[in-house]
Amino acid sequence: MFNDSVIIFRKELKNIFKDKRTIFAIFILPLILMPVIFSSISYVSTLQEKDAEENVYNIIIENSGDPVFEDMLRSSLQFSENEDEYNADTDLRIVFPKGYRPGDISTVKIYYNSLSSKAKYAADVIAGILNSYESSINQKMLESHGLSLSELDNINTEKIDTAPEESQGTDFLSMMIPYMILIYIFSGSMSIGLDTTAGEKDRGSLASLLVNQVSRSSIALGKVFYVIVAGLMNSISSFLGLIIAFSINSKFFGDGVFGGNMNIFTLSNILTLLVSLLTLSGIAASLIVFLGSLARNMREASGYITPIYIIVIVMGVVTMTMDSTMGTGLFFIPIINSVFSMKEILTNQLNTVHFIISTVINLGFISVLVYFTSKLFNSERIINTI
Amino acid sequence: MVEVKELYKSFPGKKGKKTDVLKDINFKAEPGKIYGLLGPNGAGKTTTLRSVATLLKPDKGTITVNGFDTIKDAGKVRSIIGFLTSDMKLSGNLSPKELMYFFGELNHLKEDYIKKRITELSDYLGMNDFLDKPIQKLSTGMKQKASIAVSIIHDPEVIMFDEPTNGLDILASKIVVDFLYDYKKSGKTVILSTHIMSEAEKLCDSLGIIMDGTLVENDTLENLREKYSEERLENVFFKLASERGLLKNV
Ligand SMILES: Nc1ncnc2c1ncn2[C@@H]1O[C@H](COP(=O)(O)OP(=O)(O)OP(=O)(O)O)[C@@H](O)[C@H]1O
Ligand SMILES: [Mg+2]
Repeated sequence: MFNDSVIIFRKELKNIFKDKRTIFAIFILPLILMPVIFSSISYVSTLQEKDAEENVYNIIIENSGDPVFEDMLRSSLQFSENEDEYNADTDLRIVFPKGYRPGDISTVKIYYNSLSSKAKYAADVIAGILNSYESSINQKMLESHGLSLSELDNINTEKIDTAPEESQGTDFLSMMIPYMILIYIFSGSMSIGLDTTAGEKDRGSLASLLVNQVSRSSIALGKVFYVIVAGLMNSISSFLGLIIAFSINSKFFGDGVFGGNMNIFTLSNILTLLVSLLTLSGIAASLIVFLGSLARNMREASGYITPIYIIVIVMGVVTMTMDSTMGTGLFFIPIINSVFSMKEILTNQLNTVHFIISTVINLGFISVLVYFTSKLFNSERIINTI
Repeated sequence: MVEVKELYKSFPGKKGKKTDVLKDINFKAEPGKIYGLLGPNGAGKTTTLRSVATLLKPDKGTITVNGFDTIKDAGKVRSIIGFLTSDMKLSGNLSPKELMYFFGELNHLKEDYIKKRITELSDYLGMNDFLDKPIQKLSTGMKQKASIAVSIIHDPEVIMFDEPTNGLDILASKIVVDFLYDYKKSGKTVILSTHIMSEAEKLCDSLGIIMDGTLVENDTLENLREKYSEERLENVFFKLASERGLLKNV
């Protein structure tokens, strides 16, 4: 039976490797696309930052008789003071209480539009300047009593990261990579897996596949193998694409991310990562091949798959910001467990028990789906839905 | 030789009710002859052929191919039949040669034998010019040749072609018609389903006319002409259809 499924597997793989467009879309594109996407995000946000810094703001300052504040603000932010009434060109308004004099206990209000990232930036700068302004007033008041501010500043804080050195700064990785890979594996396997099942029904070629010496189970198995391998290659290239993207933009994602931190890629981490990718591809492949075989045609198949794809995306989004060190229970749920295994591996805190649970659960899940697919192929239903 | 005896087949319909699609079908297709299955759309031609091809299990009745039962000896039956349907569209990037090789493997043929068959068939069907081109780049006629080659790679004793000229122009149809004629001449059993009367008149030695799942006629072409005193098969067909009130609903 195994030999027979290899015949199917080999033919499908040969077919796909001859199609330059598919090869490009599935294996080459992620290598290019990921770096391009992340570089553009990083480029645009630095550009915006720079823009916000260099922008000349239109600001109204009300009731401040103190030129000191204005000088301080001018040293950090370029602005033209708008003497007139508030109008459409006004970016921000800084309102001191009426009759304010330096030293008064008072609340200063900053009016800004949170929908504008520039105004938000300026509001932050102004808040910071107000702090310094307060300190400078305090300083003066203390001096008149013969004290200085530094004498009052008796507690300093210092935060020290106790995460293992090689996993520091990998939190962004462990957030983005599993999510992207999840989406990539499912969408990649979807096009390939539906084409080889429902697509084959559309083309009327399934009947001729069923009338020969190869058992139905081997056909089912061969197709699942093929989709797994394609999904795996797809996920590996998108993984590599992400690594390239992060190393190019290491500055943007924080120094730890990939600047010097390639040391999470130890042999055991790479191997366990491959196993995780493999079982995740296996789940996607067996699920898609099963549903694709159940459907009458391509249209019906996409109807079956779409809800599942949406659930997968939701799973990806929900788990994205979740901590990598979660309870064991999560590792019993297929797909979710792959996400958390990847998170653990990418933060270099792989828990062997978690890893074994996920692998066993996923292999079990795949076996069940392959069993049902092969039952389906052995029943008349497969031909009734042609 | 194909023998169909008292074949019944139903499909699960709406609300758990079964719809009888084939009712008591009996016919024999003999070696060296072409047996034609004629019938309007939805009559049950494809269902009959699929049952013979081991793809569907009869509710009742037996089908044997060269003495082998389609249920008990399904594997054996598959090794001696070739099955081609009109809606089979070869596609993808593999060449006719690679596809023939693949189907040879699916039939558990030896490598040398497959290679020999590929040479034989491509000479015979005139495929040498495009043997190594991706199938999706071929013309409809070339694809049709490739489909035929693929379905007979294992040199089957019995072939069943389900409306093989559907959607083909007359030149591409001629490829199929000529092939079927040659194949029966070589002593093989051929079953052809069609609703093109001229094709049936030209090719078939005996005919089964199926309407609403019942085989309403099963005879040689000459006998049918005599019985209905009609020269043209088309008119025989119309007579049978109007007797059953099938023309009113068209
Ligand atoms: N899997 C199935 N489930 C339910 N009904 C079916 C199934 N396959 C065929 N039928 C029904 O059985 C009847 C016979 O279908 P069949 O395909 O055998 O007809 P046909 O003679 O080949 O028609 P055509 O000329 O359109 O190909 C039709 O009414 C069809 O709707
Ligand atoms: Mg039909």
